[in-house]
Amino acid sequence: VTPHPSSLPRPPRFARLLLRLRRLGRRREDVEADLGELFRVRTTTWGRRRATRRYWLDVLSLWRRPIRAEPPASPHITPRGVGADRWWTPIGLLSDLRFSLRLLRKRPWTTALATIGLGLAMAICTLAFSLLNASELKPTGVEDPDGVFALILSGSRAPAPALDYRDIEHLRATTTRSRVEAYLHDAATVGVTDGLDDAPAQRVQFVTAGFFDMLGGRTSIGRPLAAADARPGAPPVAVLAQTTWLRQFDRAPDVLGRTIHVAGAPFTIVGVARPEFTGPARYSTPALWIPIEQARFVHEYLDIGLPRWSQPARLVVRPNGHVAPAQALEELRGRILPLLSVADDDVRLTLDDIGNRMSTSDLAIVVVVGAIFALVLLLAAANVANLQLAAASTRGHEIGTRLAIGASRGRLVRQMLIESLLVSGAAGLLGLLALGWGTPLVYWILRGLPRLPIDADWRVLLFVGLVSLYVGVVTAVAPARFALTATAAGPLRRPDSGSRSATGNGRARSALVSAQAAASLVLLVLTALLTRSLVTATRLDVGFDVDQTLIVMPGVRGFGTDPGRMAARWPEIVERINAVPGVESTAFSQYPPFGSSWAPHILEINGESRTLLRDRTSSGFFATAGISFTEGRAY
Amino acid sequence: VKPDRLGEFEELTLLAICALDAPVYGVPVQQRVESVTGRTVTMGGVYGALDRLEAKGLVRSRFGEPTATRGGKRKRLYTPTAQGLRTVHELRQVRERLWRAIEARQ
Repeated sequence: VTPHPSSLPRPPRFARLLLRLRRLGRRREDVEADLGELFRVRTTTWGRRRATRRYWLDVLSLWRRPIRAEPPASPHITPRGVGADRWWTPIGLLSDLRFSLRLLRKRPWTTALATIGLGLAMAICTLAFSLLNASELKPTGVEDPDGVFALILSGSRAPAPALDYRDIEHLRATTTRSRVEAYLHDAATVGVTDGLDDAPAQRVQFVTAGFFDMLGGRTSIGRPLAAADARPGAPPVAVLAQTTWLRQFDRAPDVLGRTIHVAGAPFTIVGVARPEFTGPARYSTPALWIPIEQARFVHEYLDIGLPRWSQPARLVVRPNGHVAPAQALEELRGRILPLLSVADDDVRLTLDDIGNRMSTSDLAIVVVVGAIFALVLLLAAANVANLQLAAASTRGHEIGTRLAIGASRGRLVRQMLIESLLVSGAAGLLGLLALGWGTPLVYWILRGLPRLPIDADWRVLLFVGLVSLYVGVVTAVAPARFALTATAAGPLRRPDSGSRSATGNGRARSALVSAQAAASLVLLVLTALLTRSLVTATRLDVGFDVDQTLIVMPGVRGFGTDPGRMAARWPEIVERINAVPGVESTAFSQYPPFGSSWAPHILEINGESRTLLRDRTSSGFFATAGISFTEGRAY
Repeated sequence: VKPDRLGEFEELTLLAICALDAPVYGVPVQQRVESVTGRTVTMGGVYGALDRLEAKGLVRSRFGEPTATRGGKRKRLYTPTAQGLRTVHELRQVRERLWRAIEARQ
């Protein structure tokens, strides 16, 4: 039978009081029990008087010697409450989170201002990163893209050397060191019906039989284009891009076998390419792919005919196995030069890495704009830090009380950190939401950049997560510093007592305000420079009448491939356009001013090599465009 | 705490822990040391020695289950670590070597 503790002999009262006064922390439980047990054993064996004397000796020995109030935490058993005041343990994390949410709700205007300000900055940074991600970081969907090259043929004389269909077929059949495929871009109306009026003109890519196989292009549903589709008499088929499937078929699962009209000609859909597959030309993702051999079905619309196209096809090369690109190029040179009717010295063959997705100048624009956006983020972060610090300054009583009842400084700092992370996390979410509506805005701001599909993949999510974490930690530094220097007696002091925390707090706020002012000044200067450049650009005389000139790309059908027949139809087109009310005159130009393409030609003038841009126009072009002459006359 | 040295009382405490059936708590350790040495050993001295031994990694401690005889309070139980046991054996070898040298002179 275990005796009730109250019936057991009790140690002397004053000695117990002395023991209670000794600071033992979490050791108190076992120390008091040990001494009590010893007292009882000694009372039984030695008698109460001797036991009492030894009890006093033990208690005094505890006062004489240092006893560690906190023994090392045992990995086996963690006593209840141990570690509750340590910031790195998860104990109390949920309470901290709840408390932070309550505090943020108590000051809604400050919280809203901080979140929206930071959210806008985060939105801008997220958009900039998404653009970079879409152009540089996202995979192209091409299998082993480092092993695929674009073959560039260039020459010193016009016209640039080009291969026709039979040449490419010959190359594909005879090349042994590498695999060669070709593709050709052109624009055509793409619609679910054969009506042309409502169908938008889109980019169509005509590809050789092994194009998908060589690039490793895969499909979400259906199959890619295969060699069988290139055989004579094969039915006309097409593979849709993911965007076309979404826009024109609303992701219908039964799209396979349905008909899509390209320039009015019907093609059966056999597959939908995976979202990441854009082909070798990243900036010009086509709406759909058609076997090059089936181009005859759209002859009536497109000025391309077999065996020779109006524009050169682009070649993609994948060297076999361990063949170096230089060796593959050497073989290609040996096979291509005899096919061209120009001198060998005039042709240059190069292999261009298709991995180089963005030009250096475009990349520079993105980097500069990214740096400005980072500055905006810095400004917003400084603003939030200042708001947080101001809020922390008014929380002296709360912090002092928490310190007085035993909260460690680590816990206080964790509290501040959680509050900042909540604000920065909410701002990060705003940034992600802005990705939807902000994309057109970015394209409007950066009009020169090619349109890329922007979406929130895991890289964007990781970026937003890391930036939110970084901003959360950075904005928590100043309030945390306040928590570190605060004292339990701080709230009792007079505000003008010049305490260390108050002085440090003032210094931190001054530093933040200075940083804000400096960043604002830099942004103001940049804005002024950009505005001035914009105003100058709008007033710049570009050499033609920009206000009253429209560029129209007419969709025409039924012209055939005979140039003579086409030329005979142009007057009819001019007449119909001139009949539109308000049109004064109409002229033709192969490469309109400020268009996206041009034809550079290198010419020898007085022994010097000059690059000229050549354009073919109709006779009334100069008058129609409002181009004036410094000397001479128009033709 | 001197990490590379063991005081006389610490050595006695460590030996007492090893001699008792581990895990042991403060009371049996104090009783064993007191009975073996025949001198008055205070609990303050025992706790100090146990703290130092734990800081040197020679023993480790944990809380036991609460018992009714102790008013529902738990014992802090001490167990020698592998390093503690190794140290005890090394101490014994050193002393035996010295004793052999003393005996050889006699």
